[in-house]
Formats: sequence, C-alpha cells, structure tokens
Amino acid sequence: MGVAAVNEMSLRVGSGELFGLLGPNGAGKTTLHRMLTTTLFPTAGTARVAGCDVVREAPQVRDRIGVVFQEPALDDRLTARQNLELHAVLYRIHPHWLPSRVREALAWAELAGDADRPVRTFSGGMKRRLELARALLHRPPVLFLDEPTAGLDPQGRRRLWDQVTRLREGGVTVFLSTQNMAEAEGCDRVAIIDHGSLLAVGSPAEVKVLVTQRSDATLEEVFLELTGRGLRDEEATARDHLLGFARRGGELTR
Amino acid sequence: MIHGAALPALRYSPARFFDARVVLALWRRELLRYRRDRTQWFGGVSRTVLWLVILGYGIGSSYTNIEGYTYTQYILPGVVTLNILFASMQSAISLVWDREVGLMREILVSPAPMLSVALGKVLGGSTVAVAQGTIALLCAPLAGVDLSVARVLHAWAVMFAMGILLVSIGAVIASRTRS
Repeated sequence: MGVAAVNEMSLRVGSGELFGLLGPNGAGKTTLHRMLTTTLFPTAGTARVAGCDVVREAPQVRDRIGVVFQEPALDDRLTARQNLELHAVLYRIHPHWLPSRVREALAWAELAGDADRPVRTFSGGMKRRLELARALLHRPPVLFLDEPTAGLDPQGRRRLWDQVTRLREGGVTVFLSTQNMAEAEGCDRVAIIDHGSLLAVGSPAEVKVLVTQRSDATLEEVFLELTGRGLRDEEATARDHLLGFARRGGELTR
Repeated sequence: MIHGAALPALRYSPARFFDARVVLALWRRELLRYRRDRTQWFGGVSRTVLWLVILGYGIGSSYTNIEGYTYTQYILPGVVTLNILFASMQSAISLVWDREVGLMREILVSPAPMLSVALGKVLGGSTVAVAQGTIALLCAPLAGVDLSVARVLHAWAVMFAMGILLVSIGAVIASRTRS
C-alpha cells in the first residue's frame, strides 16, 4: 500500500495565468505535475488540462502541453539543434516549418552560436534555456515547469525567470512549481501545498492577508506559517542511487 | 516570437500507432549517439583484437583443425556475436539511463506513438549492433576467410536479425527494471 502523495486537492488555473505551486520537499508537487502531464494516472478524481481529461484524453492533453522537468531531460550526446529537431518530430511539426521553428527556438534561447555543440558541454543555465525553448517549439497553450530555476546561479535564474514571465504576453498558461519565494511573488496566483493537501490559494497579496491578517507579510512568512519550520529530509530516491553509482564510475555508465 | 497562438498548419495531423518520421528520428538518434561514443568503438575493436589476434593465434597454434576449420575461423562468428551481444546490452542499459536521467522522460510525455518510439529504438540499437559486429567481420580476411559482397550481405542479414532479437529482449527487461 503506497502513501497518498496528493490527496483531495481541488483547484482551477485560468487561461493565460502564471500559476505558482509552492510546497516543501515531498509536498506532492512533482506527483501533481506527473498526473497533469499524463505520466502518472490518478487513482481517484479527475483533472482537465486545456479542456481535456488527463486519463481519457491523454493524447490530446500531450498534444497541448509543453513540459520542462525538474532536471534536464536532454540527450547530452546530441547537439542543441539535434535535440530540438527530435522534439519537433515527436510533436509532429510540419517539415516545412521545422527549420524555421528550430532557428527561432535557438535564437530565443540565445544559443544560436552554440547550436552545433553537444549538450554535454553546456552549463546548467544553457541547458535550462534550451529545454524551455524546446517546450515552446510546438506552441503549446499550456506549459508545465517543475522547479525550472533550481540549481542555477542568480544570473541564469534571472534570465530564465524573465523569459518565463514574458510568456504571459503570448497568452501561454504557465503552471510551475518553485521553492523560490521571489519567483512566487511574481506569479499571478499561487497555491501552497503540503502532505498532498491544498493549504492556501490566491494571488500572493490575497494569500498573505488570508493567512497572517497582515498585508506587509512576506510570502516566506506565510509559507513557513502554513508548512511549519521542521526540516524535510527526504530519503534518497532510486534516481539519486543511480546518479551515485554513475559518479563512482560503475560499469557501463553513460 | 516563439510563443503565442498556434500557427496554421504548424503541425501535421496525428498518427495513432505508427509515425514513420518518429521511427526514423529515433533510429537516427541511436546512430548519432554511437558516432560520439568512442568507448564503444574502442570496446568493439579491443574485443576483436583480444579474441581473434591474441587468443586466435595463441591457442590456434595448438588446434590446427576443428571440423575442417582453423581455430581463428572457428571462433570468428563467436567474436562477431560477442560484439553484437555487447552492443545490444549497451543499448538496453542506455534505456534505463535514458528513463531516469535522460531524454526518455521527454519522449514519454510527448504525443508520439509509443510503438513507433520502441520500433525506432530497437532498429537503431540493432543497426549499432551490426556496426559493432562488422568490426570483427572485417577481420575475416586475417582468419583466411574471403569476404565477397554476397557473403557480407548474408552475414549482415543474420547479424541484424540477431540484433533485433537481443535489443528487444534487452528493452523488455530494461522497461521492467526499477533501477
């Protein structure tokens, strides 16, 4: 019997909204992302993304979303251009549009000069920009970002965040999870979750007043008030074990 | 502008089970990865040298006739198979990697038909296996076996079939493995 990672959560994200999901480690953010991006089926309840049910209409949902994972999901032996071309084929970009879309994506990610270098030579920030551009390549109306700025230096973080906030101009709905309170302040609405349950939802200003009855509170105070100050030390995941194995130079690693 | 409303005719209509472009793109990906993987090249060459040259000539001097063949001729198909086996295993192991830390997560949330994804992976892995096996096959003249075009094509057909079998078995095991 597994543990309920996300339980009885009800929320609605408006079209064109920049929606931030906040929660400590293990709160259920990634599980929620995986259910909404159709890689994990919910055991109960329903969810609709861009008007389509995530279980019954999974292919339609997949067609309408762009996804950036918590950690890079690029082929680091291929070049930036080859990664984008592969994505374009997976999302059925018409061959007529493919070269121009790839060129636009590279320019948008500010990687035009590095297009033909293998991704393994890229910095963390470059990989993130490439992934974000890749997720936008097929013009999805909804974009899922799971902690997009984690592990970046302040410059990289700022540049990426500017690009995320500018997506509003194009009317893209952005659903992102974050641990960064400054970023959460910049969202249209935020939801704070913990132990798989929704604790508060609303615009950053609304949430502050609702929780602390003060308008000068910071989002961090609200967050700590709702989720407590206890440390959340997580067990190492299978993925951590695998990466540890690779670092020790296990057999046939990469 | 990269984002914004959908462009007309930006994408072609979906295929339910089979998309030849997806198969081709994943096949190409395996080959591109292989081209950059010097350790795999090196493995293929060093296994061939170790078995055919060192063991072949070493042990071969004490076995002069095995069912009408020299020892080197006798083990040559085995060395080709060994290279195919290793390449297939590598392909299966890369699938586990890919799923945990690589591109496979991106592929799994895409709308691409998964049957085509699997087909592209298996065909790509088999092609790499044939390339690795060919390294050993190229040493056939050293063992006193003449390579005619017909013989090479025949050998490739058998090697490709073997690659498909082994990569498929590896893919099934890898996809059921929780690392």
